[in-house]
Amino acid sequence: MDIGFVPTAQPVGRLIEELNKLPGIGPKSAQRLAYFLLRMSADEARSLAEAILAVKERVILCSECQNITESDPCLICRGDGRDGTTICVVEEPLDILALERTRGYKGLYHVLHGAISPADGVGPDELKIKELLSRLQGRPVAEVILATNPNLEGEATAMYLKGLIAPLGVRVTRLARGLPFGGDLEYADEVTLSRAIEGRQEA
Amino acid sequence: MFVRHLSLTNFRSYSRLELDLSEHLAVLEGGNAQGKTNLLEAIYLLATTRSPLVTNESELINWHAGGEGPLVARLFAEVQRAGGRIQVEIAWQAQRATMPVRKRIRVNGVVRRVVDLVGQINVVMFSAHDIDLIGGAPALRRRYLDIASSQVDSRYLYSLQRYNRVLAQRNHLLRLIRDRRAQPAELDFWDRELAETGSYLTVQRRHLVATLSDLAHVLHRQLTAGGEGLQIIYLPGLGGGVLGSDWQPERVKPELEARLRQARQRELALGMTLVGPHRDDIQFLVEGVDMNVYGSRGQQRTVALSLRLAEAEFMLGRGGEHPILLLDDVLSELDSLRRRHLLESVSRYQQVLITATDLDGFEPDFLAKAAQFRVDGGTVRPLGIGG
Ligand SMILES: [Zn+2]
Repeated sequence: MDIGFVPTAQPVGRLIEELNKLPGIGPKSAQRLAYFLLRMSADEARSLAEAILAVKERVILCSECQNITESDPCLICRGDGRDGTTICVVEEPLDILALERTRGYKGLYHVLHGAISPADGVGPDELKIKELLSRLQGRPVAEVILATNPNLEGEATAMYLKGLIAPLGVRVTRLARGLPFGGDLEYADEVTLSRAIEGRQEA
Repeated sequence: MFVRHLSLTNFRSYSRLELDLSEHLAVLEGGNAQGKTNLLEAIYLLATTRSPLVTNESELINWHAGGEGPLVARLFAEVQRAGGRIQVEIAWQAQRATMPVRKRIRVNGVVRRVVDLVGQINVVMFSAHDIDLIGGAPALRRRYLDIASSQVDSRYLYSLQRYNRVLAQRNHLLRLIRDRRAQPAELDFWDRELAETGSYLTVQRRHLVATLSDLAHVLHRQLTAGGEGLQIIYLPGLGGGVLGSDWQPERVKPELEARLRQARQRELALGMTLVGPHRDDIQFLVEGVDMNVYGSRGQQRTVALSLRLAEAEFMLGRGGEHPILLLDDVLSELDSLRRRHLLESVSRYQQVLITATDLDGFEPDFLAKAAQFRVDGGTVRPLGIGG
C-alpha cells in the first residue's frame, strides 16, 4: 500500500494500514478516518474497539443452521413451536430476517453463505452444503425449501442442492415465481415473500 | 411512430436542449463536432440503451457542466405511437469521470429495467461505419443481429442477457475444472442453460437473417439499377449441416447439447466455450462472391445500405409500426444515383432524421418538404420547412 511519505507516528501509520484493508476504503479515506479517530475521546474510541472485538469474539455461526448468532444453537434452532421437519435454505443471514418478517414460516433455516458462482471462485465446497447434508442424516426432515435468490447463481445452487437432496427421499421445493427475476430475497416485500412460500413448488 | 419532443440535459456537449420534432423528414445541418450526431445518438440510446459511438457510458456525461457533487446526464423523449403517447427517459449519474456510472430508466415516469425500455421505440440507424458490418469482424455482425432482434422481441433481449452471463460463468468453470478445482458434474446446470437460451437466440437469428436476405435481395437490385443479386447467409456457431431445414427450438436445443458434449474435452483444454451463438456469423454474397473478403469499398457500402433498408422493412413488418430512421452523414459517401434512391426509399417512413455537413447532396424538391435545423456548438435552431 502507498500512503505517501507523510511522516507520521507509527501507531497512526498502522491504523491507516488497517483501515485501508476495509472494502471501499482507499488510502485517502483511510487517512481521513485515522485522523478522525485520533480526535475521538478515549471513551468513544474504546467503545468502537470493543464493538469490533465483540463481533469477532461473541458472534459465531450456529452449529446447526450456520446463521450468525451469539449463542449456539441460535434462537431459531432452539425456539419452541418451530417445525423441525422443514428446512428453508437461504444464501445469506439477511434472507432469514426477510422471511421472518412475513411471520408465515415456522420451520427451520440453513444459511449457505453464498451461491455457486464460478466467476467469483465460489463452488459447492465454499458453501455450507456439507453441514446441510449432515443435518438431513438421521433426522426426520420431510421437506427442504430452496429459497436461494431468483437469479442464475441462485438457480445453479438450487439445482445442485436438489441433485444431492432428492436421492435422500426428502421432498425438495423451490419458492414460487413471482419474485422478480434477478432480484434478491432480501429486497422482496413481505406480501410477495409470503405468497412465494405458500405457492412453493416441487423443485 | 415518431419522436414529438426530445430533451437533453448534460448530455455530451449539450448542457440543455428542448427540441420539438414533427412527423416526416428532418434535416440537421451543421459543421463537424457541432453536436448533430449526438442528437441521433440520443434517440438511438433511448431505443436501445446502447450508444452507437462509445462503450464507456461515462463519456455520455457532459463533464464541463461542473458544479458540486455527482453529475447527471439525462435523455427524455415523448414518442407518438399508433396506440398513444409514451414517455421514455434514461439518466446516467457518476461522481467523477473515472467512477462507475449508475443508469436509471423510466417509462411513463416509472422506474424500469433495460428489458422494459428496449422495444418501446424502434430505430434503424444508417452511418458511415456501416461498411464495417460487411468488411469487419464477426462480433460487429452479431451485435447488429442482437440490436435488431431485441427491438422487436423482448424475450430475445432477456435470453441474450442470460446467455452472456451463463457463458461467462461456464468459461470460468471450464478453467476451474481443467485446474482440478471443480468437478465436471458442476457443468450440468450451465450446459442446460446455455442450450436453453442459446437455442432461442439461434432460431431467432436464423429467422431474422432469412427475412433480411429476402428483403435485401429486392432492395439491392434497385440500388444497383437491376444489377446485382445479394444473398445473406446465417452461419450458426453450433455448426450447420445436420439440422437441414428443420430449425425449431425443440430440434436446435438437443443439437446444441449434443455438440457441447462432443466439444467437452477440447473446451476443457482451452478453458472456453466453443459451441453456441457467441460464435455465429453472417455472410453477404453478391452473385455468389463473399463481400467480407472480396467486396470493394463501394460494393460493401451498397450492401450495407441494402441491409439497413431491409432492417427498416423487417421492423415495419414485425412490429406493425414504422421505425424511426436515423441517417448519420451517409449521403456524402454515395454517388448521386444511390443518394437519390436512398432518399426516395426513406421518404416512405413516418419520421426520418438526417444529418449533413451541407445541403449540397439534397435535391431541391426533397429539401422543400423537409424540416430543417441548424446545429451549431450545442444549440439547435429550427429553420422551418424548406429552410
Ligand atoms: Zn441455528
